[in-house]
Amino acid sequence: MLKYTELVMDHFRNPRNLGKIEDADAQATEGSIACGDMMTVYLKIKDNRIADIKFESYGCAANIATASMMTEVVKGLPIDEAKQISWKEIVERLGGLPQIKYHCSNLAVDTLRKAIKAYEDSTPRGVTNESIS
Amino acid sequence: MRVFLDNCRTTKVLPEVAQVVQQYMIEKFVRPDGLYQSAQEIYDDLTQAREFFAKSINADFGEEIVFTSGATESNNLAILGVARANKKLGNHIIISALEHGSVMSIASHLKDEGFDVTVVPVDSRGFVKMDDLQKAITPSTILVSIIAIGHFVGSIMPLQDIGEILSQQDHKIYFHTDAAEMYAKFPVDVKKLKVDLLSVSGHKFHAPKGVGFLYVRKGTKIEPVMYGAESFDRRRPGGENVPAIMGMKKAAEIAFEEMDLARQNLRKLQEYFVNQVESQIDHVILNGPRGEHRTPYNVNFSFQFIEGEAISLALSMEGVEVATGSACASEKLEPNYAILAIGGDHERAHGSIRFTFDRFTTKEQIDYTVEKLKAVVSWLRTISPIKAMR
Repeated sequence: MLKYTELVMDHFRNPRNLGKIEDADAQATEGSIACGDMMTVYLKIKDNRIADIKFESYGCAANIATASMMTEVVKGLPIDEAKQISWKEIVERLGGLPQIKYHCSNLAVDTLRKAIKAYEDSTPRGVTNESIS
Repeated sequence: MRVFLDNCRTTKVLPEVAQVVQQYMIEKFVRPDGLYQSAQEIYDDLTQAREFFAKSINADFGEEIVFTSGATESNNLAILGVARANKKLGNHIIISALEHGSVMSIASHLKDEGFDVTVVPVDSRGFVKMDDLQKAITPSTILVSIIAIGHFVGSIMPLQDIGEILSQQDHKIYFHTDAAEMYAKFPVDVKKLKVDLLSVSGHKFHAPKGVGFLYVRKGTKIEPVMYGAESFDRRRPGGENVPAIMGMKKAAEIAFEEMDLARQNLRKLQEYFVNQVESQIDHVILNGPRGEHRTPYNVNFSFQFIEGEAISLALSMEGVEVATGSACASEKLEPNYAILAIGGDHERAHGSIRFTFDRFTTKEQIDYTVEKLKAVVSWLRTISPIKAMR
């Protein structure tokens, strides 16, 4: 059995910024059901800052907790700074993760970057909505 | 409320059993091979225990029982021991797709030693089909190892039919079964089943962990997998774990008294649980068979659109302890092979939860489990992006 920190379990059971933004400026989905890991991130951008962020998750406790922590870290940040957030930072903020679960934090960061890119690629607003394989 | 529903992994030791274990640790602590009166008593106790276990599976001789550290060791001794000892007669062995992980590893190791291994598939309910088995047999087949009850999906294998087929071949094929989930829960008759080797694990029926036995039919050519000093049993050297063996005997005695009634009660409880879940939660798939060919000790559901590690951790926070076939909960990040073997896809494996009972499981515990399960599944589905996208 994998051992999670108390903070991971807290973010798993009480995820921050959970849900959907109906009028999102951008959204992105990464991962697949087959891998057992999938995440959608919704962004609301104001003055090049992340004014609001929400996520949905199909995945394990680590997946939910890393997504939750990621949203907490980047909310309010300028998008250029948000892009620089690394998976290691998310893991550290959670007080560590079992090594085998590092890919979950990767997924959280990748989905965020993909959503930001979708926003940047769009003029004036963009929505990418990946179909699930 | 704490509800432990992972009894297929292990069970609690009964107080009566613990008492026996303690007695053989503190008072009757000597080994059976000493040259003094107290050792003779232990020798006699062990001999009686062998005879008890032999009789419990309708075997003829106490010497046919080899005490081990549990089913993994029994499986190693049975499969490695018979394969290596009979290599001159053939190098082919057959196992099923639902074998315990230990049998899978042993088979893979035997491949490295030059053996051919055929894994016979199972159908969508988890049963080995006789046609497939028949087709897999070759003149060089020396051993067939089929699990008695699929420990993930609860299918009771047609051991008697398999034994019949193997006994009709024109050359000897040894038949081994891993009966860890069957012994002390169902009647086992090695003559009726025509098995030559049978593995048992004590901690599956309220005995301590780290003890079990292997039945080896008289006349079976088998090599030890460990070598030691002259001792009580050359097939498995080293001092016997007397306290655990005597505890296992006590646990089996109690289990045999309660076994038939327990199966009847659990069958009703199992049906009730399955009905409750299927009527109260949408998008569930029962993995494995329904009815009398499924052990009443096992229920396995896949919950669609959500992932099993999250389900089991959330349930454990409510006091309900279960197992999952999700890749996220496995050390290798691989989805459960049993769900794939019965034709399930990765999503079905990821969302699978196994609930396994013991004979003390109550309706109150089941009601509590259903209530918590409903809440957890519903919560995880609200946060899942999948359903919304379908």
